[in-house]
Amino acid sequence: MGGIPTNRFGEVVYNGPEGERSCAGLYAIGEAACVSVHGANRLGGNSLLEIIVFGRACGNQVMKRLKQHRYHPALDKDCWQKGVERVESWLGELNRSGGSDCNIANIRLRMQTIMQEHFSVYRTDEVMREGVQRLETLAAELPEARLSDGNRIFNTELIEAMELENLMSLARVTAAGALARIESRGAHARDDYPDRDDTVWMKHTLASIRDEHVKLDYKPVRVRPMTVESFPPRKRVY
Amino acid sequence: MSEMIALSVFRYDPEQGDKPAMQAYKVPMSKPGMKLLDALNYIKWELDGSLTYRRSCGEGVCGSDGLNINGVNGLACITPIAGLKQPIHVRPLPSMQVIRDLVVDMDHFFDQYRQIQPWLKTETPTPEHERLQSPEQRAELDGSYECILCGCCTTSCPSWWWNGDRFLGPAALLQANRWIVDSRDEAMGERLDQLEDSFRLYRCHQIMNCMEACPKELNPTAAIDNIKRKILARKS
Ligand code: SF4
Ligand code: SF4
Ligand code: FES
Repeated sequence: MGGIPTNRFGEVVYNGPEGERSCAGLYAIGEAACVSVHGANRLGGNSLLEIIVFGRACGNQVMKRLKQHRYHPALDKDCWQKGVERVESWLGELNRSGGSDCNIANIRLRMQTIMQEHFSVYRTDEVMREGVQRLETLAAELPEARLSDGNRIFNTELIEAMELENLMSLARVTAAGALARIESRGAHARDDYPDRDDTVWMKHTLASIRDEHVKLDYKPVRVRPMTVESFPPRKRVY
Repeated sequence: MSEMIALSVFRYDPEQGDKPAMQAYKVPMSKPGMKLLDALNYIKWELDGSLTYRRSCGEGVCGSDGLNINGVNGLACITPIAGLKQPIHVRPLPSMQVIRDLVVDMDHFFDQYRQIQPWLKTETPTPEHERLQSPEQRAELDGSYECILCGCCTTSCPSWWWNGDRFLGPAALLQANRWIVDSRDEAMGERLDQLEDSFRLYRCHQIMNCMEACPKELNPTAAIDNIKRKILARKS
């Protein structure tokens, strides 16, 4: 199950030069997080484990940290600007668009269609490669999109626009990660590579977008429980 | 040409500050079983990006899109177009302060929910494992835990319209009862003390609008009745 990488206390982790580091005070749990216990599928029981085990562990960790660090470190005094700029870039350029092809709903629908047609149940290299291309072309159109609503009170079109930016990033990393993974695992079922390959691919995809390009990296799956014996992964058969 | 649906939708733009007005829209009937939310989405995505309403799950789970639909409160996402008389009149929840178009201020509603302290209160030490319930004790919660706090009941209650500043209203009271009947909760006395008040609880005159309005088919009136009976029982 994918998400923001965390350790078992819900603290967000990242790969630094000295290996894995946690971002003190930044947490992710549940559907948003990847603590590396669930395997490749998103199955029904995941949420229960996330609530009962990691929700609690994370809550305890938050309390512990707050006892030692009552206040967060001083913020950069300009840190709010990026957020405001993002909103203003949408509100500032109303309706100056190339017609209805370029509104939020239209781009979102095209993104959904690409994901449905190229990254659905059965996947092949050819289909996904074309999908990545179409998606990258569409993503390049997104900055051209314009709102029709310039109201500053409860502007849900603005919210949808910002959600679409986030969704587009997620779609791009999902697509790139899927194309690169030449095996079948969990819901990633490839017709051209129908088998699971634990020697090469038992690892998490780490994706980022830098300078407008999707970059992929990997990290190992945690397979050693702390208090009980581990059992080796087996083929899932139905 | 597909069949067209006629809607008349409440609009209010707080930036302009003009009087609210009803606006007419026509939307194609795009699929069998089409819901009112689909029609609102069509307006927003195809006709008029400024139409403002709350929505999230689209399947009657989150409680965001409580609206007044042809005079009756309900959730847009689970209300089929087919059964509605046209033009479909879509208004914000009654008696509420409108923020914009169909979006109302829910602060007071949720504040009243907070007032009933909707969490497990215990005095006995936390057991090593969970606090157990028998299947029968668990069944006591049926009919209350399903509430999604959409506000359809409370905003349809005449007593709440008049005394909503002090009368807690059906949604908050249904939830109050949910904790009173929970076998694990150890604060029933304190909860009843808090409710035993001529306004907070006793403004309910069993008008039953709330039950009619609830899209989850819950019965706040019965819950309120149960609280009243619990209060009576401890007096005798
Ligand atoms: S039964 Fe009570 S709470 Fe429900 S609508 Fe009537 S007065 Fe309001
Ligand atoms: S009782 Fe029904 S109508 Fe009232 S808030 Fe809960 S779900 Fe909504
Ligand atoms: S959108 Fe969630 S209840 Fe209607």
